[in-house]
Amino acid sequence: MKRIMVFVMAAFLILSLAQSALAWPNEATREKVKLEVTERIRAGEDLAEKTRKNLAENEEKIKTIKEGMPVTAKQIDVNKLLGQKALVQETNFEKIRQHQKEKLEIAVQKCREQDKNPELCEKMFQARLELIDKLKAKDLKLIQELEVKKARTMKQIRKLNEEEAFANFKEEKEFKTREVNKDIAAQAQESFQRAAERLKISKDKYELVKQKFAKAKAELKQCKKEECEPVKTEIRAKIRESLLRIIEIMDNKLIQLKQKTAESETLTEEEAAALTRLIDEKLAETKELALELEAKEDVSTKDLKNLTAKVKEVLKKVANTAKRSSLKIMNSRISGIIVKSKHMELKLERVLTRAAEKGMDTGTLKANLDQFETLLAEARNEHNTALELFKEGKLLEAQSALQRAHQDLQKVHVILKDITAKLRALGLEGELEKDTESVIEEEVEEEVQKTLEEVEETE
Amino acid sequence: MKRIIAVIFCLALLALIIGCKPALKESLPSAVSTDIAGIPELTEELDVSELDMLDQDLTDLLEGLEI
Repeated sequence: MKRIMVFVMAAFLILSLAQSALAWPNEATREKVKLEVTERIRAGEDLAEKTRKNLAENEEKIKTIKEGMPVTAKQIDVNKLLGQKALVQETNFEKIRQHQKEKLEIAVQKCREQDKNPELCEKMFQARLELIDKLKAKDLKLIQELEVKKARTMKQIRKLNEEEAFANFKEEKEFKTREVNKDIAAQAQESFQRAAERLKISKDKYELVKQKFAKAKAELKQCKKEECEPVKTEIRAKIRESLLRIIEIMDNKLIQLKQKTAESETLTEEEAAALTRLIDEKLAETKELALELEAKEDVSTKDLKNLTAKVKEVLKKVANTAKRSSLKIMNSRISGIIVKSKHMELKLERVLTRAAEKGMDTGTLKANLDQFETLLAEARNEHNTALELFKEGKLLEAQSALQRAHQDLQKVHVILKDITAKLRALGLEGELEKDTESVIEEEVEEEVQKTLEEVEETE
Repeated sequence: MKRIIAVIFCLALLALIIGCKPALKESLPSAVSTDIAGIPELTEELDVSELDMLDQDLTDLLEGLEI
């Protein structure tokens, strides 16, 4: 027995180690990287002299920054940087090179300001400063386009943050409007499933009753006077049963929506509470109606007419509540995806800028990013239309607009898959992870952009 | 013997944790992809169109009561 256990454990260990080992880059990848580095070194040889000269200049600048006072967002010397408008029109690539370098210099300063290891701060950005010195015109042109694009995306993100539908989706909260306890979410899912099972049973039973009702109606048309009474009783019984099944269907649908509301992490607490209250009100109405129907087993035609009219009235209200709840949940989900995708877009633009700095051939990635931006903007427009229509109470139209937004997002999804595959092929996938360097760079870009926009506004 | 088994077990567990760690972290692109890919399922779960059909059924039932 012990031997078997040892054997199992050992097999387990070997399998686990094999799995870990797979995470390490293989020989082919290392060779590929080696080859790439060698090519770069060769390409940089003719620029070596120029680079050395520029390096000396950079070192001098960093030294000056080290000795200087800490820089805050308001103190950033925007005159040193090109405005975005100017950057679009800029044809002097040396100015673009300068723009990039100065931004990185501010990043070094910012890094030091945040009490990070000074040597590490310089080392972190020094390599990139060196790369910028070596850049060719075509790479600088791409960087210029990406800089303009980034500025636009940052502005759009800030605008999103000011809009009611998007303001609650923050990156630091993983784009969730609220945190739903895991147990509560699991319970909600379980209740949803149970309601789905009950709903299926109710629907099946209802279909059977409908068939029997149709059969009884056909019999009624053919019966002779004295034979008709039992058929009429049968019809009344089937209508009563149909009403009970319809109430069950409404009930279970409402319960499902209540559970979806409970587990939603894109609705705010207030929105979820308001929806739950609304659904509970309707559940109370259906319960009351069911009790009334159950109490009357042998019901007269007149009573049945009244009860059917009542069910019809409640159904109208339930359907409205259900549509509103359903749209609200879906709207919030799409809002979250739009904000998340917009941040994704900015991240991809940053990765591409870094790749361009390295002089990498990024192929069609820039075109993919442009497509991503266009489709996301279309999804956002449709989503906005849906929100407007929802406010006007045009629920069906709102639903159609939301479906169109979803179709656009599906196209975004396809492009995103294409982009990530290309990034993987270029070995850039890891660049999407947040590290100290990217955090500082993001902060600097945000500050620079904000300051530039403020200057633009005052002009 | 028991000690050896315990050590092997711990090592295997550690290796498994190390091996699985990168897979546990979800990147932003995959989070966006998951969210978008999840919409059809949510649409299905939130579908309430059958309630509209019930309204027509109730009209038929009311007609059926004209007996």
